[in-house]
Amino acid sequence: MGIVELRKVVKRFGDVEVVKSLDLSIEKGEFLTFLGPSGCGKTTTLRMIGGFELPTSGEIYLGGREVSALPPYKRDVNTVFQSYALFPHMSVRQNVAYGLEQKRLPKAEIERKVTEVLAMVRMDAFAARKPRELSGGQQQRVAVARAIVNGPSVLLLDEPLGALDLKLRKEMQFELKSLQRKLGMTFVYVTHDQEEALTMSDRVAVMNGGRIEQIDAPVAIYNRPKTRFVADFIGETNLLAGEVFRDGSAHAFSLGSARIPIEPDAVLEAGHRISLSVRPEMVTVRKAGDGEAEDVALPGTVEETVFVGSVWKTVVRLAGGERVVATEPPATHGHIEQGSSVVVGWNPKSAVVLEA
Amino acid sequence: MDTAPAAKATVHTQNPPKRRALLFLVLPPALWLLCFLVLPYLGLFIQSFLGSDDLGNVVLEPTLDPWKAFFTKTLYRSTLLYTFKIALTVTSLSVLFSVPLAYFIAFKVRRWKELLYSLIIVPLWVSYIVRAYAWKIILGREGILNSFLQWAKITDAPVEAFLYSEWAIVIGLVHIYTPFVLMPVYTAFEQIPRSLVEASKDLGAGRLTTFFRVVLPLSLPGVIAGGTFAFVLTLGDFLAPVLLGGTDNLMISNVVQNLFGTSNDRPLGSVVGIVLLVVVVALLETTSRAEKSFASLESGRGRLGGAR
Amino acid sequence: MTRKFDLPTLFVGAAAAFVLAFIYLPMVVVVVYSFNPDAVNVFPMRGFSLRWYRVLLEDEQLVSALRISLLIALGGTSIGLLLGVPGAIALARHEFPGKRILERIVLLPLTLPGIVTGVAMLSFFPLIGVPVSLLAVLIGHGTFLIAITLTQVYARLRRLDPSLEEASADLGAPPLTTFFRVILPNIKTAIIGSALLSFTLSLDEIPVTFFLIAGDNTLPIQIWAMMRRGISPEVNAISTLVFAGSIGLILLGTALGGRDKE
Repeated sequence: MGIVELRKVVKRFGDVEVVKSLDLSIEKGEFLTFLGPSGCGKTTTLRMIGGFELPTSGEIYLGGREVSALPPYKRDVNTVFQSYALFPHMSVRQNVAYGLEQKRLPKAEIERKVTEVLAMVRMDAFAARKPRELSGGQQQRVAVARAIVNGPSVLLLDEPLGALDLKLRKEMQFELKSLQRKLGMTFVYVTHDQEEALTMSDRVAVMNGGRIEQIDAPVAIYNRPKTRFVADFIGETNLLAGEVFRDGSAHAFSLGSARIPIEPDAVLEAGHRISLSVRPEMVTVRKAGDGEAEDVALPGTVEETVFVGSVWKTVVRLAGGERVVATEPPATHGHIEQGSSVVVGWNPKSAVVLEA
Repeated sequence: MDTAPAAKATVHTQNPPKRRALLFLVLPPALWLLCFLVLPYLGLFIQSFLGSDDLGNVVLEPTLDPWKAFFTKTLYRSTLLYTFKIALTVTSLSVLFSVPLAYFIAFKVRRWKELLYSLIIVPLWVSYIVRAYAWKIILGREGILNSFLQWAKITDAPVEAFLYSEWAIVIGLVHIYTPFVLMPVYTAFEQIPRSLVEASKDLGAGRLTTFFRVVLPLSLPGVIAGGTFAFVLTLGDFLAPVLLGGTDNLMISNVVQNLFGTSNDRPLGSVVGIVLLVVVVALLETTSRAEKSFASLESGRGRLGGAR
Repeated sequence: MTRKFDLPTLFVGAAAAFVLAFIYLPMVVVVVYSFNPDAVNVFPMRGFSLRWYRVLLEDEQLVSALRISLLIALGGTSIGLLLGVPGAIALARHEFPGKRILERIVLLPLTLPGIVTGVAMLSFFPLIGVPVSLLAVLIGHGTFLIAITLTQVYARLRRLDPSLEEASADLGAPPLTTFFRVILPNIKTAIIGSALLSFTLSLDEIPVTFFLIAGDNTLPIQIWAMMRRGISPEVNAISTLVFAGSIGLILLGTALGGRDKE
């Protein structure tokens, strides 16, 4: 049994079912992230683990104990809030000591632990300040310190970096990740920023419409998305809609009159509606009649080609009207001009077959 | 009127201890308000349909007589109309007085802004009776104004017309209720982004045009709110007419006061009270709707502010 | 830098000055004439005297009215705090059936004319065993002071991030601890401010008091009674003291409120 277990957890607000029968097991020491668009139920799920919302039905276990109906102050978890929720009338030190005081630890021990954790987040020099005298990044560190000082079995983080600017956010991502490794603590993280999720997590749970669409390691989420939603939501991709064409045991994808070889995980019926997801960096663009043809070769016209910093981005309109985007490093980019006829291709292994 | 950016309140499914805490919080004030406010209002409504015996005691006999009396005797209708007239005058003058002062403090003053602002709102809470009294000693026959005029040889005999006139009531009420108008008008002026005023001038509008086409329309919700205060407070005022208007210039609240006092006809008094109440509620509803429709300007401002 | 002669600004400035004078001059007149040595308020004043303040101190009815007013204000403010603060927390932080209705009812004593509230209470209170008396006055004041406290504290709570309370619970604090250590320190100034405001309003209340009072007058009712008997400069003196008192309370309130804003 994982350190956090959700069983058939449902949350309804009035008539709206925000979380739909969720099953999930989180391992001890794991960094798990709920990722999804706003309104997907990720924050509600986190708040149910924290005890701020009670599930409409289903059970929640923490460390093997059922806590479904327990209030937050009786749960061994702590939270880093999106707004930080630092007590404005208390100093940094008083904020961090608050949880330990509730446990009625001896004064000396509280003092020692607070000093230790403030040093860990490099806020020891600011212990006497009030929250409003700190920058956003500093407040964020205090919020983390205030939560981890209690040594919770699970730390919940609700978009903790959402209010910071991009540069600071990247710094904090690495700091949080290394803190988590050092403490060996279970982190459950909520974000709508896919890059953040992929960078920090051991596993990512992609949520949509109150369900987990896919839960996997970041590489798998990116390379082998299981649903159209995941493929589309994570990174950029070309999503083509068509149906299965069978030629003996080999599968193909029929896109208009073109037949594209595919390698699905399972045997599919001919005529079955499917989607094909191909990442732009997997797509090659060649001038028509140039070089040897790949397994996939679709004729088209270049609509636009722009340099976006690290790569060239080329948009090709296929004969059937579909748009395919390709990104290539400058070294392999063939300087194809707008309006020229081209052939786009990819390795069939790099295309993911999805239910339509 | 809640203009502060409200923190988003989150609502939880409640567990049993929380529900108990809620009862503990909400029951005492709810019961108090029920017993000492809602039931009395309800009682007043019921009383307006009851009869009374020869001594003026209310008896438990349902009747429409008080309402018939109210609608047939012209006294009540004419007093109501007279009250509206006074209230309208007071409201117009209060607004007229408030706009320049509020505008001046909001747009022209820099250094002593806080102090001046306190000066305009402090009188809000300063004793009503004493402010009414002040006008009595100023406007009285033997009062300060009359003795000043004689001392300055402008008149040789006291002017009788100052006190105990309609104008005395109006002046007194305008004095008492202007701060109630000043506050929302000033707040509305303060909230107008200075960039809008600059934009108007940039587009070639002069100062007057800018004031009438940009500043004033944007401050309308404040003007409406303030005007409503003045109007409603005047409708409910029964002291100023007695103190400054004498016996000839009675307003609707004096009628209520008399019916519950010397005339001792409580059912009819209840009718007049209910009518007053209905008028006030209808007025508040109308103006709060008007405020909201003008506040569409405000939401545009909100978007502007959010984009910054 | 020389400023251009600016006619519109000058005009607005003059109008503003006139209005400010209109608001303050009458009050100044009362204060100045409280030091009038004569028994009539005429211009010009002949000399300066504390005569009417001495008369005031010996006026037993007035002193007793002041005492009654202070007691009612104290009691009414306490009722307002004891019932208004919990009510504000319930309305700002909880959902319950009838919440919308309660929100509207709370505003009634602030929006409806005091005279209607007064006659309604006058008619109803005797039916539930509260005769016209100081007790009735106290209940009447308590009722509208609940509204004052509740709206003021509610406004503060709405600006207070609710996740502060969640953070406190998250860190292991049960609800009462959260109230005393997190909520109370953050709404303290609103509570003090509304208490001072309640006290000032109660001291000045007439419409409700007028209908519920039996024999013993409160201060404003007593002043009114004195005015009806004829103008005595003694009223100037008591008025000056009332001014000083209410301005003192207001300044205290804004000072406390201002300290909170920094």
